[in-house]
Amino acid sequence: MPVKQKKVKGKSMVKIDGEILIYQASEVCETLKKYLSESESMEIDLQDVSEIDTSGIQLLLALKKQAKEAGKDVSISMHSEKVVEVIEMLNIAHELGDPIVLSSGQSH
Amino acid sequence: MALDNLKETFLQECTELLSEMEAALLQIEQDPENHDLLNAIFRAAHTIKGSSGLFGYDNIVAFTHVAENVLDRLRDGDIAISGELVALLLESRDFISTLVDAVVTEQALTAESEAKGAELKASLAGYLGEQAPKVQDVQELQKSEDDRLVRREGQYVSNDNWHISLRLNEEVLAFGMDPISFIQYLSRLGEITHITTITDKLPGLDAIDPEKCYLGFEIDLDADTSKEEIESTFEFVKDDCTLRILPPQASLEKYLEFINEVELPELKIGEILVKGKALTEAELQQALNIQNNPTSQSRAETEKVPLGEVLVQEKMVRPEVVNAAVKKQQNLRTGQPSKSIRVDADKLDHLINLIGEMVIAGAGAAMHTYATGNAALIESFSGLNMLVEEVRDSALRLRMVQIADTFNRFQRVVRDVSKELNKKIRLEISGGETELDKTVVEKIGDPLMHLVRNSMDHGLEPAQVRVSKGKPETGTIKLNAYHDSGSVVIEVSDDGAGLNRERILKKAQEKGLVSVEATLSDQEVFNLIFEPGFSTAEKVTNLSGRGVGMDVVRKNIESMRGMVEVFSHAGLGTTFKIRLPLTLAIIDGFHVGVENSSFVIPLEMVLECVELNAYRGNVDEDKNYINLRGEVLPFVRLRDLFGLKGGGKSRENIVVVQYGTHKAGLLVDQLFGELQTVIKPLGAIFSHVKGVSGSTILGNGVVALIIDVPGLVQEVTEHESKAAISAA
Repeated sequence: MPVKQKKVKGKSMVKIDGEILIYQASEVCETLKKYLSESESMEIDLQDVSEIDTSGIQLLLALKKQAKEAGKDVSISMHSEKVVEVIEMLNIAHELGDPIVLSSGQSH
Repeated sequence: MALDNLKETFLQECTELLSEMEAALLQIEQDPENHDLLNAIFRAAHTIKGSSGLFGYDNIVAFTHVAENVLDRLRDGDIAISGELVALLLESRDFISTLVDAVVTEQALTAESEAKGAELKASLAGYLGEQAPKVQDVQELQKSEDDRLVRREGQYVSNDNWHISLRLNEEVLAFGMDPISFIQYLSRLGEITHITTITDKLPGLDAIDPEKCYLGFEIDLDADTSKEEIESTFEFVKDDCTLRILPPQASLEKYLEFINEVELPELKIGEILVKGKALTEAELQQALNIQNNPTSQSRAETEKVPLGEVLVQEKMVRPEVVNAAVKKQQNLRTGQPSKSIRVDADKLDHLINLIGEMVIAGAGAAMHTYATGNAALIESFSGLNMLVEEVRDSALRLRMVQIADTFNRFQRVVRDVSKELNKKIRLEISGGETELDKTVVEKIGDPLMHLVRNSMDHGLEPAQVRVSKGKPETGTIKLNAYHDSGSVVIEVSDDGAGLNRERILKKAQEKGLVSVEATLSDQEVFNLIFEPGFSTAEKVTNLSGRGVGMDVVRKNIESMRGMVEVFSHAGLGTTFKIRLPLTLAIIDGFHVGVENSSFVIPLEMVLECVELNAYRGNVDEDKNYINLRGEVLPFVRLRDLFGLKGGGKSRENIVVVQYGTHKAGLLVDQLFGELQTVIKPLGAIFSHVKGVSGSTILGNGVVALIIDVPGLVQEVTEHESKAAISAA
C-alpha cells in the first residue's frame, strides 16, 4: 500500500503502490487527507496498484469530490491495468475525469 | 477475518444444499412425477452454483452448470427420470461435494478426481443432446404475444434487456462483500450493456468512512436468464441491499413504479434509464404522462388490489414475472420459511452449565427458605423454583435434536450397499421425530451404521433364497426410535434369516467363552455375539475397514451410559435394541444415605422402596436376594460395595431399580427423598470406579455420588446368571 509523496514546485506528487483494498482503506484515507490539506494541487500515480476494490475506488471518488469543493486540483496521471479494469467496469471514468493512459510496457 | 467466516458460511450452506439434493434425488426414483422434488433438486444445484460464482470458484460453477442444465430439462419434461439418470445425478452431486471440499481446504483436485469430473460432465452432456430450444420457444412465444399486446395497448417497453437497480447498505463492505464481485458475476450471466454508478451518497474525503459502502448501481443486462437467477446472484447480501429487477419488455407501469420508488430525482433516474436504453425517450415521456394524468378509476383500483394481480389481469405483465415477485415477497427459498437459528455449540453448553449452577443454588436456597418458616417467603420462593425448573427443562431441550436426520442418511447407505451386495433392500424409518441429546446423536451414528451393514450383509438372505422360503424378494431393514421411561430406545431390525444359535454357540465354545456343559437360554447365546474376538470379520469393505466389530459397538454404546441387546427368531429376523439416556446434565434423583455418606439414584429408574426387615424372613441371611411378591430380586449392599464401615443399622431399606428389562435392589440405610440435581462429571481418575457415574452437590453443600444404576444392574444380572450357569 505504500503511499509516497514528493513535492515538486508546491505540487504534491503522490504515488500509491500495491493494494488499495478495504484493509488499507483507512490508512490511505488518512494519508491522502493529510497530503491534500498541505497543498493546492495533487497528481496521483497509480501505475503500480495491484488490486483495488470498492473501498479503494470510493476513496478516489471522495478525494476528487473533496478537491472540487475545496477548489483544489487533483488528477490521476497514471493508472495500472487493474485500476482501469475497475473504472471501466463501474463506468466512472467520466466521473473521475482523468484521461486514462496506460504506461508503456502494459498491454491492453 | 471476515473472509474466513464467509467461507465457513459457504461451506455450511453447500453442505445443507447437497444434503437436500441427495434426499430429494433418492425420493424421486420412487416418485418420478413429483414436481416439487424436481424443483427442489434444481434449486439446490442452482443456489450452489450462484454462491460458488460469488466466490469465484469457477470450476464448481462450470460443473454445476452442466448438471443444472440437465435438471432444467427434467423440470421441463424434456427428459424422463430413470434409474440410470438418478445414479448419474447422485454421482454428480458427490462430485460437487468433492469440489466444495477442495476449495475450502484449498487443495487441488487429484488427477483421478479431475478425470472423474470430465467423465461425469460427458455423461451429463449426453442427456442434453441438441439444445432443444424449448425454453427459447416459450420466450419467443411470449415475445410475439407481447408484441401483439404492445401494438394493441402500447403499454410495454421495447427494451430487450434486464434493468437491475442495486442499493447496498453501508455495512456490506465490513461484512466482506464487494459489489464489484456481484457485477462481475452478472457479466458472466450475459453482457452488461450499460452501468451507471450512483455516487450521490458519497461524501468528501474528510467525511468519508473508508469501510462503508456509499455506492449504488443501475445496471442494464442483456442475458437469457430469469429473475430468480439474477436474484440468486445477490443471495448473500439479500438482507443488506435493495434490489429491483425489471425484466425485458416490462410494462411501462412497472417502470413508472420503479422511477417513483428509487431515491433519485425523477429526471435523473429517467436520464439514467434512457442512457442505458432501458427506456426510449418516448417511453419515458409516456410513463411520466401516465404519472401526471392518472385515469382515476385504474389508480383507485390498483391501490386496493395487489398490483401483481391487476397487472396480470390486464395482461400487462407476464405471469412468470409476477410469480417471481410474489415469491420474493413471501420470502420463500426452498418452500419453507426458516424457523431456526444457528447457535454456537459452546455458547449453548455454557448456558446449560450456568443453569446447572442455578439449580444447585436453588436447592441450597430452598433449604434455608423452608428453615425460616416464613410463609410469604416460602410461597414466593416456590414460584421462583417453578420457573427455575422450567428454565432447566427448556435449556436441556435446546440440545435435543431429532434423530430423523441420522436415520435419513441411511437411505443412501442402504441404496448403495444393496446395489453392492446385489440384494433388493428397502429401508423403513419410524420415530424420526424422537429427540435425543445432540452429542448422543452424533456418537450413535457409527454403531448404527455397523448394525445396519451387518443386517444387510449377514442378516438378509439373497433374493433367490428369500423367494424359495416364501418371503418377499425385497428385504426390509427397519429403523425405529421411541422414548421409554427416561430412556431413548433405537431399534435396528431386519426380516432376514435371524441369528444361528448353533453356530454362535459352537464358535463361543471353540473360543472358550462358554463351557461345553453349560446350558444357555437363547437370549444368552445371542448376547455372545457382543463378546470381544467374536466378530465375523469375513469381508473388509470400506466400512468395516475401520475395525468396528460388535464388541466395539457395545463399548461405544456403553460409554454413553447406554446398553444394547439383540433379539432374534430363526427364519424371521433379528432386532437390535439400543437403550440410551435422555439427558446428560441435570437429573431428578432419589437421595439415600449409607452410613454417613450420601448417594443419589436417578429417579427415572426407581420403581419402589421396601424395608429389608419386612422381607427378611423369606430368604437366607447371607444371600443377596429377596422374594419380592413372588419375584426373585437380587440386590447389592451399597455399604459393602463402597467399603463403608460402621455398625449395622437396624432399619435397612432396599430401593428397587429397573434398567431395561432387568430389576435389582440397592440396599441402603436412610431414604431422604426426591431432589433435582446437576450431574458433575467425575475426573478421569475415577472412570474405573464401579457403580458411580457422577457426582453432585446437595443443597447443604455435601457432595453426593450418583449411582451408576445401569452398570450395577448389569453386573448383578450377569453375576446371577453366571452363578446359575456354573451351578448347573
